[in-house]
Amino acid sequence: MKKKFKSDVDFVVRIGGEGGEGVISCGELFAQAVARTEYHVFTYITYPAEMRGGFSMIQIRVRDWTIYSMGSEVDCLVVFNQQAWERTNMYLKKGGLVIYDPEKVNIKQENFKAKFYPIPLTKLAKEQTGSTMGKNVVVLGVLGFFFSIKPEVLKELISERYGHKGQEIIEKNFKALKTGFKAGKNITKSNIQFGLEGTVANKEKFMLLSGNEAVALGAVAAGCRFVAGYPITPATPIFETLTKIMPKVGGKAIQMEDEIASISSIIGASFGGEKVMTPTSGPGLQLMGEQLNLAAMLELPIVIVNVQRGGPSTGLPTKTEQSDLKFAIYGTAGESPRVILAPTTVEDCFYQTIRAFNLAEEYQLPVILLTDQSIGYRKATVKLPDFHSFREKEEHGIDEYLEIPSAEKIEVISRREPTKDELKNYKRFKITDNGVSPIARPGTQGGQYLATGLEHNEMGKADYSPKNHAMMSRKRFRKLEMLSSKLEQNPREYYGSKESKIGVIGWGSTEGAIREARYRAEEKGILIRHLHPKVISPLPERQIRSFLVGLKYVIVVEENYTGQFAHFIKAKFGVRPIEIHKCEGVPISSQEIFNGIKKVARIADEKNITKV
Amino acid sequence: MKKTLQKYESAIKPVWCPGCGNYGILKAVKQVFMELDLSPENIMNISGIGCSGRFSHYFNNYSLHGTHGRALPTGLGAKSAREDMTVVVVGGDGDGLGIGGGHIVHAARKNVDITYILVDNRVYGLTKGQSSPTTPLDAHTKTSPYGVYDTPVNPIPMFITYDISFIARTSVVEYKRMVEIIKKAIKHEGMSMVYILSPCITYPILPLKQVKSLIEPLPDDFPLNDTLKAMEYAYSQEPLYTGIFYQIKKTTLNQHLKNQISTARAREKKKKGLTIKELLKSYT
Repeated sequence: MKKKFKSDVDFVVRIGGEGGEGVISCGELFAQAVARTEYHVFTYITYPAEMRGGFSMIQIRVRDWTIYSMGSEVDCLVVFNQQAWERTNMYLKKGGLVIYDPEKVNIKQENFKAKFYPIPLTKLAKEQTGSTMGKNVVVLGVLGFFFSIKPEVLKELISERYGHKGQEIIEKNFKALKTGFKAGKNITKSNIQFGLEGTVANKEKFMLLSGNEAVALGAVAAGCRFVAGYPITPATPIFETLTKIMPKVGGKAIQMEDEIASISSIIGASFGGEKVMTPTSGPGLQLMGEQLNLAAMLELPIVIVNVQRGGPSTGLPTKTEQSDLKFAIYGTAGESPRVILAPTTVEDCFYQTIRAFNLAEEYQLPVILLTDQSIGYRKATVKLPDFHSFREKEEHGIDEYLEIPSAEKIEVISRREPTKDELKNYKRFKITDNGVSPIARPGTQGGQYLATGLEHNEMGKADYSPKNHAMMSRKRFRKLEMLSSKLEQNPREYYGSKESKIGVIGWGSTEGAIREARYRAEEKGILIRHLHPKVISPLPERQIRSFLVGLKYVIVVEENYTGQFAHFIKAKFGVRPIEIHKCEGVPISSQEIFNGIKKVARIADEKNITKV
Repeated sequence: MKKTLQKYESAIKPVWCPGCGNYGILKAVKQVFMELDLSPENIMNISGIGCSGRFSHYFNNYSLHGTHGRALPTGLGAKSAREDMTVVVVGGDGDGLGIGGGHIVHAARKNVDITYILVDNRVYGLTKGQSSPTTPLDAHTKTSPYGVYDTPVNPIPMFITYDISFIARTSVVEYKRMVEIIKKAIKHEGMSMVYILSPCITYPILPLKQVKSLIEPLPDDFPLNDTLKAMEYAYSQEPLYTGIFYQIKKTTLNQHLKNQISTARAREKKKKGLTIKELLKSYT
């Protein structure tokens, strides 16, 4: 029954249980094993806010090519307890399979069209390891058998993950794994799903990263060697990853007492000449507001990552939302330039982070990278970039086209420093055509200057005269105008048909779900044009106007209550979009977007009918 | 000598009130830079907001005049990024003990190798005479028209509890001692706190005369590593002792950061750092 590699493989595994039962690590190990095959993997995790207890689940989607979203229906469901079953059974696909612990879960099988595999997980774990803690590894063994994963691959992954806990723990886990394989064999006699044998070759091509890890690695790749942070869910994994990897590459990652101290110290380090970053979430970004303006006023490059979570206030720390957009764009006292980037996938988190550094260094301003919990915690296979085309661009004209970093080509931009000529009578804030003036690195003789948050003149001296304030405001904002016009040279950021009358606009992590909804709509004969800008502010206006040409209906999809991006689009382009909002703390699915598109298509059709 | 001091002077002329103690502190700091033979381009001055926030304007160094209360973490970042630089942070009692008070203990825990010159005039001078964290009880200011009721902060005992590795008090009325103390502070490896009493001429909550009568140097044989002794003298209000209360050797932040790098490399069994390629491959 074992199927060989199929060209239309696409299935979803979900494991649900109580926080602290090892649900997530079980799923992650499974995902890692799959990542070593020729398939792509995409995971989605829900954590309870509590340390232990509360519903916890991981969903793993496996596909034979790029995966855009977490998937809507579950092919294989593993439940550790009754609550997990109650909260997930509605997502079970017809004909799907369910693995459960009969001691903990009571299922009325007749109500579901599915295959049931009761396996006494708790009992087996206790018998084999003396503790119920090993039941997640028993499940891993069962899944391993069901999906023909080689035990050696799983053993290697277990050793990597738990190696630091000592040999005894490893042996216990191996025992639990073996028990799981056996239990799987006893209950089905044969493998029932796809063959997922790992190959070494694929290990060389793909990383398995969370969005948060991708941001951390992107920062290092971009040349960032100084990070300061303060733990905040769901951005903490970025900082944790950086505290681990920064010393490995000769960099520094320091934990500060709060977010204000974090951004202050990266401003100090940027003043010192380093490429710097601080990761945070919405409440942290709020605290950083004043210093964000300082960086803009001092024209120092800094990168802030905001992994958005459900708000307002403490809100839903472990859940996702796209609700910090307006704060990111407009949240300042006075007006200061900044750039907002919104990565769309885990892979994109890596490249947009590099781009964030390039833009910050090139234009000497703060760049905010807006991701969210769903993209930060999901894991996906990410192709290793081509290292031959990875280079640091030493000499680059500010008027040169800045390529968007991609797997094919990564260019890293460094800070513009004054030349020997420019150091004679050096003016740090010199008025230039493009607003950018070279920054002297401390230690450079003759480059000493004053950077003050007071309005200042070209030399850096405080100057409140009307003429000077007007001139310097223009200087700072000219950089954004420059950037905006450069963005027009980029390849188009929209897809779909020219003939389409319906356009969908989204930003950030909803890209995959909208893309899938578009594919489904096209299958049904509904033509869709999809715009998903990665630079949210400043927007490439000509590009967007060309997207809007010919459209009768514009739908804006957002995971927030008030439609923040829709407001922005309305204000800038004078369109009246139809807004699809989801504000539930969980990502919007392609099904939900598709339903919206269908409704709009119906209205569009009716109008055509009345015209005829 | 005046000519050489100019090496550290910017073209910007101070805007402080005539007779302000800040002029003396500014000159003392420049004199220390000169006596230590530091190159202007190898010094970073970081200041906050308030009268003393303006210090950074008047040096011909790499100077950053930031926001209210954040000079210390900003300076901390600057030093940890640039070990080769001498970093001097300047701020007032409002900046350092009020809005930014929470940062001192953490900078102390990190023992970052910077000198923090905390200038206390016991009043908010720049905003024209409101009470500050060190304004004495019952003093009348613009925000305490019926007298101050908040207990004033007693900074030196606080610094001793924070275990800052160099703690000194001095005053503008003892210029020579002030110069010597600032010099020792800058030479100290680790965080050094120089707390300077500097009377405000315009809002004389602490008049010059009173300072003169209050201060008294610590005994010549005062031990530098005796916390309890330091605490005893720090609590004295009359007299207010000046001099170095405490000085110990502790690993600095930059040393810790270097140790992190060598530990990480040892764990990777590598002499050099990981390349980007090696790093990314470790995630496959």
